[in-house]
Amino acid sequence: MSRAYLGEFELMVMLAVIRLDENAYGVPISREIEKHTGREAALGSVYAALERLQEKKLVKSRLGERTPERGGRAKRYFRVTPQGLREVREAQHALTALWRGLPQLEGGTA
Amino acid sequence: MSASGNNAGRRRPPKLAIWVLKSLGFIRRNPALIGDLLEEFRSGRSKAWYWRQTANLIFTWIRRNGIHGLPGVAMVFVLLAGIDFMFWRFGRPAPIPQWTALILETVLLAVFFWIRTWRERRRLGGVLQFAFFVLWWAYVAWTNRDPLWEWLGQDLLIATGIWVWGMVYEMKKSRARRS
Repeated sequence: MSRAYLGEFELMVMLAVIRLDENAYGVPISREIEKHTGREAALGSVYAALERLQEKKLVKSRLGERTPERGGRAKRYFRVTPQGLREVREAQHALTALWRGLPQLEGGTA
Repeated sequence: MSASGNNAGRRRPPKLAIWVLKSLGFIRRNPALIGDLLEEFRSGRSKAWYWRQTANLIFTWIRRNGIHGLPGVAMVFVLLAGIDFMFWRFGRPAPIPQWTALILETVLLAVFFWIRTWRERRRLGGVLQFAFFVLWWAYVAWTNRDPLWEWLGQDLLIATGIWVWGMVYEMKKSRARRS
């Protein structure tokens, strides 16, 4: 099976989905990214990334309940697939390996 | 975040933004995303935030799907109409007949779209297309003093052509995916 490489934003979205577990839908995913990066994550960008991840079969989704504060529209919950988890682990290993042994990035705040 | 309490739960997003999202097919295409926007807006986000999200949705969609879908074509039309208006207001007499210009524009656009349909030439096609839009329209519009409505009609015609092209392209793609 060919590998589906993750972009930076896609990786952030995957990590947010894993962190949120059962409650991973658009609003909390975007808030989670904002909370940890300090940058606003537009819902359109989050959904575009989730669609790409879904096409790569790294996440799957299901429709949830309709609520009045959402104008009667259902939430779409996302979940990382086993293949998605493997990709995140691969990305983590690759990044950690690249990070290791770089004197410029050790200590200090430069 | 500014609003809170019972009023926040009843706040309505800007009507024009809703109309834009509805007419470009976003509400039908992704109701969960529209629900998320409403939920976040009612939790206290500003109208400016809602507009930013709407603009981001349109740009993200165009970046992902190219300009031959409806949101892309609407953007192209608005852009061209804006340029036309500017140059119609401050322009000079035309060096070539308007219909010759229209045929030339359509042929060139067709070539660039054709280039874009090859996967490995997608980026080159996109760059050529963008450069062409900017330069050609700036040149022709600058040198033309025909009534504004003729120019707008011409843009609408081209935008409709792009849309039909896009629909045919998407239909072919989804048929190929199914088989």
